[in-house]
Amino acid sequence: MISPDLVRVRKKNGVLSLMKLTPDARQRAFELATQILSVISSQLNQTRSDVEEALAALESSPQEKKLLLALKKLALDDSAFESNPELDAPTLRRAVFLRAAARRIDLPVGADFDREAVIGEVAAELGLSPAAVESGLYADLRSAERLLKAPYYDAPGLLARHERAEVQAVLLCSVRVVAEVRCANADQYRQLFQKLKFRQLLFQLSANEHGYRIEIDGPYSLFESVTKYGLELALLLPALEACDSVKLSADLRWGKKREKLRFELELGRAEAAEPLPPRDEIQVLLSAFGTNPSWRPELAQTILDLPGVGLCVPDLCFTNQHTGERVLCEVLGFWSRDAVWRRVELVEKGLTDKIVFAVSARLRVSEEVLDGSESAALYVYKGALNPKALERKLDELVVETNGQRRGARAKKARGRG
Amino acid sequence: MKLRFAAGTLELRGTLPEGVTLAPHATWDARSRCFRAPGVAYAEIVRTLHRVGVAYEDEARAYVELERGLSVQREPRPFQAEALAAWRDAKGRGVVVLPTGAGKSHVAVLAIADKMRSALVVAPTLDLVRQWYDLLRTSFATEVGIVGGGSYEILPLTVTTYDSACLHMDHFGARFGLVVFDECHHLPGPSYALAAELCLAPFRLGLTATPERSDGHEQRLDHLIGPLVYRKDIVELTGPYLAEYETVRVEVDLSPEERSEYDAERGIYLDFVRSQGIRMGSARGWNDFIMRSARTAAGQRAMRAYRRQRELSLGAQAKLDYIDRLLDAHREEKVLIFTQDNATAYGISRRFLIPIITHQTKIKERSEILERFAGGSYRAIATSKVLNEGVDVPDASVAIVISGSGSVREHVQRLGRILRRKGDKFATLYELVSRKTGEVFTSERRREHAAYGGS
Repeated sequence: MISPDLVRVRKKNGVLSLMKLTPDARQRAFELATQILSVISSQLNQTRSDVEEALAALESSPQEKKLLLALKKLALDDSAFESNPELDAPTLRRAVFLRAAARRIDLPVGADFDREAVIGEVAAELGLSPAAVESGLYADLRSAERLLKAPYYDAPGLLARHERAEVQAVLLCSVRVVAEVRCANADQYRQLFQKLKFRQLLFQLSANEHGYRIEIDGPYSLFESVTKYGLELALLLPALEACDSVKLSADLRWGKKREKLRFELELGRAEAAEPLPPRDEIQVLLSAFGTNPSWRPELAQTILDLPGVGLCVPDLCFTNQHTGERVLCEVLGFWSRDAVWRRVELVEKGLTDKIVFAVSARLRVSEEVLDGSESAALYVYKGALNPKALERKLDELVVETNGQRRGARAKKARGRG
Repeated sequence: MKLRFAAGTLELRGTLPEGVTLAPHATWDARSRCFRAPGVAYAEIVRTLHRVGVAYEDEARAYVELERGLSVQREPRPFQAEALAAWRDAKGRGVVVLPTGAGKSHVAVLAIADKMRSALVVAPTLDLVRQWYDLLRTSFATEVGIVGGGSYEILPLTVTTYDSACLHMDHFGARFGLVVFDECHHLPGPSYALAAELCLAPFRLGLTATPERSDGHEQRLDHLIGPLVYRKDIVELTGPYLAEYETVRVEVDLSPEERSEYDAERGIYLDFVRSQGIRMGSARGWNDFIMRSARTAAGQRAMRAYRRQRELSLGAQAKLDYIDRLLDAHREEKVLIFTQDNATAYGISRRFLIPIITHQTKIKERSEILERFAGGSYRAIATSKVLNEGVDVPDASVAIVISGSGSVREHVQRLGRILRRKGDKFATLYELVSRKTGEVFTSERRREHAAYGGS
């Protein structure tokens, strides 16, 4: 990652935008990236300060300064350095400094402190040359680390990293992000929400024309616009990039003066890219229900959110061919028992959409856990998903035209009523 | 009503009787369908719930009572006892201002023993963390946790840095009933303030010698910690509690080569500043210079010239020669050498073969250097800024300031390092300044304090 002061930006009417490279500037950026990687590769086994000095010799125009510094930073971050394992610099320092302190206090009045004599004495005691003592004195400093490996990527790779790093550096200064997201695939949404949860970010979700609008910030943002969550928002970027399309708008506090600016960006997988295919087990269900006379399956486009409790992202939406009623299905497989209990809590706390959670028997969860619910059911399967068994669960959740429930579940519900 | 600590905030779920409100402390949060308050509001919210008679389940508070009190009872000095009483009267929330060397940390130890709740001490540097760790361990005869510098161990008594507190307070902010902000003038900055906001400790103590900030944000301490409850200045305590001292300003000449290069480089820098109409004396002068110097090749050259002339004045050869004389003259005493930058400090360490402490020095080596310094096998330490604040080096009686910023606080704190009273110790601070350079002005700015006879 790079710091915000290394980002090339333009500010206009309260909007901050990243400066796009002209074709000529792009060519120049390519040259700079090539030079940086070539300089680093030529400095193997040299100290960090030597590598930095060699990089400092690269020339750029004032306009290219930030780009050059940012590319250097990223390339150095991706290089491997190691301190000299053979020299114990703190021990060497201790020997030298103790000897020097003793010599100084013993100096006759008017005599000069003889630095070289001290180095010579310690060198002789340790069986080293005076030059080795001099060079080893601060060998453990970061600047003395030696370059082991240059970055593995080429110039286009460095430029691609730089492009992402610029967006992340801007997001470091964000106090709130609004993302309008579209995904063809439930897994993409799921990964995004898992990342939100993992980063302890809070969000408000609302459906819009194309997908979902997610307002993201952190718990304390309710009281004050703070950049505390900027790092988390920046680290969320790869998860947003994995969505099919994202329109991102961030409120910033930019620079030392914390200027209020807005940042907008469209990102996501390339326009021309094929939608990511659903997981194998979902594809199996789609094709198994392809000829089913009662239920028509399609990929679900719904996120079920219960603020303050949690959310789930169904994989499939089944429409009953006779009644038109819809039942959602989320295939949890063998993710974790916790994931199952979180779904159960959602149902208990008011999830009203009809939904079947398909769970592997390996998670040792009983279908009876949700027996009392009229809107949700657990389908526990051994080995592979069985479309027939899933169909029975779907049937149990729909109301027939005469208002009667059918199947064992309905009987239980009637018995309790 | 149920209270829960959530990432530095309090979530309050449940219904309140009609007419009862938790405003302005808590606000409805539609994101998670609950009331939410910053951690700092915990004490007020609990008091409000008690006052209106609302039953509540407190799942937020995770701090405990300390199992043992002070193992070493040390009679507090009169002003320390007064400071503690004033803090106690302010319901255990407030700022105590005492000069460096007067024993602020003992006030904190007394406060912890008074409240007997899990306590977190937040200090600006790892050196101070190490020092607090030693002090708490000795005072309470118990293990003490550290968060920062590669450690993450939380115990009922824990010490951390401001940086780590900012990073982790949303995780451990419920685990302490008392938080001590050492050198609390750091706290009102935009990011550090969050450390106080995200912590629910009902008892808070701020310690500093210099609460005033150039941005005027010291007023925020009132909300983040509590009001200023006690103050004594350096001149009030000198003599009985602090060592007598003198400050000596030594002006040195640049060598002919240095002078010629200095004049040439300063000329390039000043020509650019004048050509751009930048008024360096104005509030935004420096920012203007940075911005404009980045735009053209001439500007970049002017920036290099500025750095070089500054480097020449701060690190003049004559200063280094003078250090040699001072080390010789004070060979029986203990000397701290302060620089503005690490490179100069390493240069001094290498030239005079004296130990150095910078932010790059590992905790183990820092401890060893300070121990040897206390024991007398080292007589001098070079450092840049990490020893500016709070670090206890009681035996040091000579400070040599080779270079520094124009900050009054930094200069006062450097002086404070040698003022801790020990026997009939007399302390001397030497300030080495290159004559007829911009450094003379910097030196005048930093001496504007009563401790230097300034305003």
